[in-house]
Amino acid sequence: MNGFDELKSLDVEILGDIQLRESKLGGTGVFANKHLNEGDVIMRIPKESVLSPKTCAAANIISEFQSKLEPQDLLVACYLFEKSQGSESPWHQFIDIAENATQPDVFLLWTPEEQKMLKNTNLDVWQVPQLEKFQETYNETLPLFEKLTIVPSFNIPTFDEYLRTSLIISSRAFDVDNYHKIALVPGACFFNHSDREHVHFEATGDVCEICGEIECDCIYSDSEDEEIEEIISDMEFEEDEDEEEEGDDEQLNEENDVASVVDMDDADVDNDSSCDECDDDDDGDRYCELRLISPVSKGSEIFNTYGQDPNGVLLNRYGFAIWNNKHDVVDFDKETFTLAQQFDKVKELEEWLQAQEDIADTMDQDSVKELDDSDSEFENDQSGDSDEIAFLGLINDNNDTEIPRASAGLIELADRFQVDLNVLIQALADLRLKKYYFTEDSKELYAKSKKEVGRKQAAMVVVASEKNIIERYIKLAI
Amino acid sequence: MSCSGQDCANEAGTLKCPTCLKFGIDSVYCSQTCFKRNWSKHKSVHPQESGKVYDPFPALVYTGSVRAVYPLSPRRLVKAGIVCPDYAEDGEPTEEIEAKSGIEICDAETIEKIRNTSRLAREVIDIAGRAVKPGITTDEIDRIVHEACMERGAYPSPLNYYFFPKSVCTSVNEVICHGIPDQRPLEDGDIVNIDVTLYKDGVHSDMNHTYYVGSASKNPDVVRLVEGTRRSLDAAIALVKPGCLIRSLGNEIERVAKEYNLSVVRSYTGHGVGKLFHSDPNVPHYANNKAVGVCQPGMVFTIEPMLCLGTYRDSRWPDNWTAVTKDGKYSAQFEHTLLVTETGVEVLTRRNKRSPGGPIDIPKKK
Repeated sequence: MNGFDELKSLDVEILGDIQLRESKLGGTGVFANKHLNEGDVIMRIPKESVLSPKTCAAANIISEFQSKLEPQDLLVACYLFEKSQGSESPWHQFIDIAENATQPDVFLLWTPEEQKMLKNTNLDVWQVPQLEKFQETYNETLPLFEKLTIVPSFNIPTFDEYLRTSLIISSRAFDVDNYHKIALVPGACFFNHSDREHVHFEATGDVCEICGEIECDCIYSDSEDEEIEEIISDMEFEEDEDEEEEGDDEQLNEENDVASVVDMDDADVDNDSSCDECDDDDDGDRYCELRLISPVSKGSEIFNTYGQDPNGVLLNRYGFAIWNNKHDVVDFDKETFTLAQQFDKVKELEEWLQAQEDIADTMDQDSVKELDDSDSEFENDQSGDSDEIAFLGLINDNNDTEIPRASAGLIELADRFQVDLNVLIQALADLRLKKYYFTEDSKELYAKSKKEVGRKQAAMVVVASEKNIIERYIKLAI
Repeated sequence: MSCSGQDCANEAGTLKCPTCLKFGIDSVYCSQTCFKRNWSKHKSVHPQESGKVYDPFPALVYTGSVRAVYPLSPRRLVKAGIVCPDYAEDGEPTEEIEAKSGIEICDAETIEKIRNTSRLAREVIDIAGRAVKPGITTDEIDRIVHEACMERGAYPSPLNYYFFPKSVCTSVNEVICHGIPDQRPLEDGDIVNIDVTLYKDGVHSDMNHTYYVGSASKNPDVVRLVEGTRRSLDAAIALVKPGCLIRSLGNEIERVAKEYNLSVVRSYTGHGVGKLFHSDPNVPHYANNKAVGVCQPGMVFTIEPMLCLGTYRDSRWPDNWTAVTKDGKYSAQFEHTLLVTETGVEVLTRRNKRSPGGPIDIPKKK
């Protein structure tokens, strides 16, 4: 018994000696029963077992709304549909686990009073998704829900049920590939998040949008990247090597059948046959894998990363924040305006901002500030230069002992204002530090947070982490 | 007349195969290169000695007692004027390969065409079914089906679909499906599945039926198999209506199969049918499958459970078509083309009063 038994029916393979048990972070986590090595694949999930708009039983109805709704909203409908099927759903045990787990206590559920604790933090600057937005999406999804009632067991969800499900989806979904898009991956979501993660979620993303295969005959296929060409040429090479003994089987598999279609996914593949369908290397693109990027010692919890996100994003999507989060930032957006007035540089600032907007429009890139962007799920969204130039603030991305970094945008702005960068940052920091809800310095606040629970604790961690970045910069750089 | 080359779309020339000529068969090719290219496949139609038949495969490929009996008869010609599907010439169902995935909802006009093609398919299978008796070869059944199609101005869909050499599939005893009609005479005690698909007015209709040969209908295990399979299809059809999940059909089929102590083949599935021979949805017949699709009015698809007395595991003969049970025990199959209506289902290929091969009682266990 390792706690993963419920996933057997979905063909989830547990490859490492790991176990599901209670985590110090609350709820459950995945633990190593013995020392595990870097590079080990500890879990493998067939892509056909993920729950996505392609695998949901109502895929043919849901696909009609593909152009009208966002991928995550389609996934909410998939989840609600499969949930309505009870034990008839192939995902019912997985859904039970998700339903019974602690629901993410995300920022938008906080009362206005509680939200005040995060006044003048990044969360105050960033566009936090509001209930109204969910209400809007709910209304947009209603025609799909109505259409799904063709299945008698499906009932249109109430807004509350919809909201609750949306939060489950946004906290658990993975970006699988450009066929499934975002999906729920049984097993993969059992891992807790850390900014110093051990495991990475891997899935070949560049597959045919039509059929989900790497190599296919679909004429609409978009997979023309060089990378994909490389994979294809590798595959061909491997096949050539094995041609002699497996040539016949290959041919068999490529052919369809006259009176019925061969169900390749469920075709019975005998272990003793020479069929190479069972060969791991050849069909790696059919699986999602969790691979260790660093060793894990016996008895330790194994962490994944849900995205290299600052605390604001974590609190919004998952309902938690991490002290001294490696990926945390301090956004001086508001302070910059105040300061521009003091320096009489409003015109320069506006010109600069306009220039950034123009760049952003042409690049059409997600900025760090886009909180409700769910595409950044597992992909590295390490701020590229174009993102960073639009961002005015400090970036932690170092260890405790190192100096937080001024963003490229801040450096450029100092130049434009014709002031020394550190003078600028000191002024911005002075403005910021005065305005926090919690007045303690970072270390003291963090110490106090340990005695708190729930939302207050999370708020304290967010503020303490922001302060920590500012304080360290001032102490070490100025 | 078109060239006898299986992969060739040209008009036939004057070049005839000399071996075939000796046996009084006309196999006419457009060119020597075409003849050479097709030689390895073509030679299988040659009798080894005058009038003699032979077994083309090594003994170890067989799992039961049925043997391939070659030579295959030459490819039957399609009457001029009959509209052919795209693979008739080059063996490649290009439209199918390039089709976007997704389940089509047919309009009223298409439905009427499929309904008409289904009616003809029913006529053809009934003619073939009446011919089933000990002594008739499956090749003769193929001839009957082919000619019945020609008379109705319809193309026999299996012919040259991915180079399938014949106009119908005939699957005897342990053959699960996709048997190639050859020179084997049906024997008393056999069962034979005849799988007929017609293409007319731009649409296909697909159906199959398992018939008892002679005293097979007196063998309790065989009757349990054939009737259990028939009932599993009927039970699944009874569920079809708007809102029915495609994946639920396999649960029902497997439930009935268990009732009769039969196993369900997993490698072959039902499918959408209409403008294409095979399309979405994919319809597995086993329980707890993950097939996608909710039935909506206007959807046309087949259900075609293959049930077995022994193992459900299958293997294939070297002809790359004939699917057989791994343990050589009998397998039976029934198939209908179905239309989802506003209120339920219309069995487009349904039996009529004169249709042969109706259900019989299963003898009770003593």
